[in-house]
Amino acid sequence: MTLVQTASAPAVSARATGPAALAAAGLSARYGRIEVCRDISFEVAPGEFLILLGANGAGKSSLLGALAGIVASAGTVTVGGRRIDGVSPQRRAHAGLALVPEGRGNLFGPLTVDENLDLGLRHLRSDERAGMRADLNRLFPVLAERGRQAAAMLSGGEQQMLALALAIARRPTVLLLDEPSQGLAPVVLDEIVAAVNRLRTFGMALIIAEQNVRFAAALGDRFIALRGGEVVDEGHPSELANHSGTAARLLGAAPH
Amino acid sequence: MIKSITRRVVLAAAVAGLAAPALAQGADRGPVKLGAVLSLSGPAAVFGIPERDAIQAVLKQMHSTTPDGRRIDLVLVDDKSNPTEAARAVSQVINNDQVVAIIGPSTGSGILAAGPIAQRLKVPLLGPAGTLAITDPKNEFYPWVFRVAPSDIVDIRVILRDMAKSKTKKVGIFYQEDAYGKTGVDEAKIFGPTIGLNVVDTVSAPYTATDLTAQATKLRNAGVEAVFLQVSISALGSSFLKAARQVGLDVPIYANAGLAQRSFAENTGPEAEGLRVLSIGNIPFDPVGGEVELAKMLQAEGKVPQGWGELVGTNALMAAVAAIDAQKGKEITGESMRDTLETLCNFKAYARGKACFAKDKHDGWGEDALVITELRNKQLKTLD
Amino acid sequence: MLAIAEYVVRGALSGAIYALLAVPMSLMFVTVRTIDFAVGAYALIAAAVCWSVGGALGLAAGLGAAMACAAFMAIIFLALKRLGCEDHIIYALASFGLATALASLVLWWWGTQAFVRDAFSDPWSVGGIRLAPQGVINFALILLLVGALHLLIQHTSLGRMMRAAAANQTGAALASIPVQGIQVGTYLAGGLLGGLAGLLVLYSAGLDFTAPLGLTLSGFGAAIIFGIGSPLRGFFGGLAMGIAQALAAGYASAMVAGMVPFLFVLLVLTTSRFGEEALAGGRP
Repeated sequence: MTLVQTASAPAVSARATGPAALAAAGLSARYGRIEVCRDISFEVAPGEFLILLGANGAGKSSLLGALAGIVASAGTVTVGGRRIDGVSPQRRAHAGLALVPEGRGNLFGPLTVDENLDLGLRHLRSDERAGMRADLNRLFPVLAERGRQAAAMLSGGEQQMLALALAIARRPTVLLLDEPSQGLAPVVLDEIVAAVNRLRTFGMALIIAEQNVRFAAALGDRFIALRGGEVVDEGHPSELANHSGTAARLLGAAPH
Repeated sequence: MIKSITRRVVLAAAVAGLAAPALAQGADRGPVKLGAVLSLSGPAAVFGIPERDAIQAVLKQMHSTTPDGRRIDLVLVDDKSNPTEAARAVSQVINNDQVVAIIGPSTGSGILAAGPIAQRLKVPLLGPAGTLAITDPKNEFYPWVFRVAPSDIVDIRVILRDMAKSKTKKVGIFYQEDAYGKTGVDEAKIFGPTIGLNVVDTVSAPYTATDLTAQATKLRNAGVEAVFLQVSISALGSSFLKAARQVGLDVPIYANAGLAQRSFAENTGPEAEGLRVLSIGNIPFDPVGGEVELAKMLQAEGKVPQGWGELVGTNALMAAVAAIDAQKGKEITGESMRDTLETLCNFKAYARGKACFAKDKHDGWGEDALVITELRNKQLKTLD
Repeated sequence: MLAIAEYVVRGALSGAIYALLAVPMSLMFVTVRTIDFAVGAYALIAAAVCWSVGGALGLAAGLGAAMACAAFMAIIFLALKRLGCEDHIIYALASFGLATALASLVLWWWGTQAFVRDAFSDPWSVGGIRLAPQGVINFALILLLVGALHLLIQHTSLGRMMRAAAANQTGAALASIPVQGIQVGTYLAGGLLGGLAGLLVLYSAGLDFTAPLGLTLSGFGAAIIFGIGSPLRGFFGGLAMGIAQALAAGYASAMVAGMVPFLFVLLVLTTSRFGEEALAGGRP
């Protein structure tokens, strides 16, 4: 079965000189003996926003999990030129990787908003923390108001903001976002898009796993399409907007 | 099989009447095998190990031969303080080693578990435990179990009598929450009033209780004039004594024989000073008569007497020895041992008091085997 | 009236020990989602070793021995994890096995004797109630310790990390919180606190090789009665258990007194909202 091979897919490769923010080579992920991603290779340049596009079960979350170290994997992964494969999630986080899992899985529900953020900020030098906290409050004003509330008591959109804030509080080199649109109302989605785009000011690279094509197209500089755990296409998000049929084929399902 | 044995016994008896001296030699058909199923590990080892040590010391002294010249082979098995193990061990020594009587098991629950097996395989048990139920005539296996220690009820009567000697009228009881504790309370409530003692309050605790001040307070508030501890767990005993001292329960306290152990006497603090403890004889601190003899044998083996385990262990051995010699010239089987045990009276043993068994009396030792001691300066001194 | 007050005071003093045991129970439950059944056995080991060594050195040796046993339990936990076992029931069963082994070890080495020591001989009289100084010291020490732990957990960075690791292990790993280190630390804390409880019991009522299970269950009861999520609730749970026991011993007939504390736990669990929370895992 031939899958899409878009000839017009110009690899938008690392724009900056120096090492890629993140590079994966021959990466595979598995749950027990079941391999869910095979031989995936790609690079993300510093500051670049990359969309991982795919239907449910295409292997997007597993790929992000494999990068972050919470899903068993093989292959090499480097962050800023440093190998991080084979080390614990904690070490990868120290190396500059941050993941916001599906369903805001990086939040600590019983802890307050302030406590959650403090956990993120504790990796910064003490003189940098106040500045970063101020930046976060500017980016997500609602979090400043809800400081003493338990994270679990926030609305879905607010939780997503907090999840983002917690992940970037430590100034990661690469931020991995797993389906930030999931379970959120369209109005809230617009807020999230705005918030994510504001992250560009931090200069970090971003990898977003999405199946919401419209949402993805509004965010990314480049996309990689996954199907059955393998890369089947890559290109510029404008292609998604211009040829909605492509997205339908990529996702293997009806377009949004 | 049974018939042929009976016939041989009858025949032997008939011939014995005619030619006893000739048969005495002929009857010496090799050693008699005795089993000893004792708690050598686990919680009851505190009794089982002294039982074993004393049995071995006495056998060594006797050169493993009865006064009448019959050789004895001892088969020793650990019941691990576990009733299931005890039953298994009893069946093992009967089936594999063909023993004709068994010393043990060490614990009351072990004896109750092994009783039916002894009955089925027709070998008597000589039980060194006070547990009332082991010689209950209602047991189907009653004919096969003989008690070689005073029973728990006898213990309680002796304690209450000693209390009544002073002008005590109101008794409080602290007991551990198990069958042993409950037996003590029930008997005290029945027997006490017959000698003018009333049990005015009872308090209890599970084995694992850590604080007994509330229990001591309750007895103090009830205005008891003496307290009786029906406990076998020394931690409960010392914990209660501490609590009593703390809450100001300043009355004579008596403890049952479970605490009559060298380790208890030597390891408790000043709170136990003056405690009265019932004991079977007093080899560790005040031996008299046969106890002196036994203490010497133990010392010769490098053993330090621990309590009364030594006495009940040798009671069982000496009962078996007496039964073997009483069957002079006859073939000895489990059944013949059982029948003979029921006829034994006033035989040699190291415990004080007179020991007698009968068909309707399987408790061999009574009140005269017991003494009241008082804890003074980490020693249990016998009181007159 | 004075009689009731006396039982309540005595119950509270003895309940403080349960409170101390409840602390590692609730810590363990929130950070590893399991129960360390060996906490009572750490108490026994500490008491036995301290009793044998004696003096101030004995206290240190007792705590050290308890910590060593807890470290052994932590190694078992890590080995099970390494073998791919994520089943929290298995950790609990392993700790149960260790508790049994430790009690057997004590029985084998020291026998059935009671371990008791005395620091004070004369009781204090407080408002007409005679109290052992040791009991009052235990209470004060435990109150201080639980208060300090509460502050540590609620208001320090370490406490935040512990609560975070408890709430969301994956999230904690992503936030580079050393989850496994915290779990091992919790096992060790169980050794320290259990050992301390053992020393306090050694200098109060005394204990023997049968004590571990009773101590563990009392601590567990104290931990769950008002919700397992916080040591402060465990503290009050311990006091409640102790007072229930003392009142039962004082007023119920001896036949049922032993059951009362457990009926009390059952009653609280089935009727209160704390109970629901406790069964659902609780929240601080």
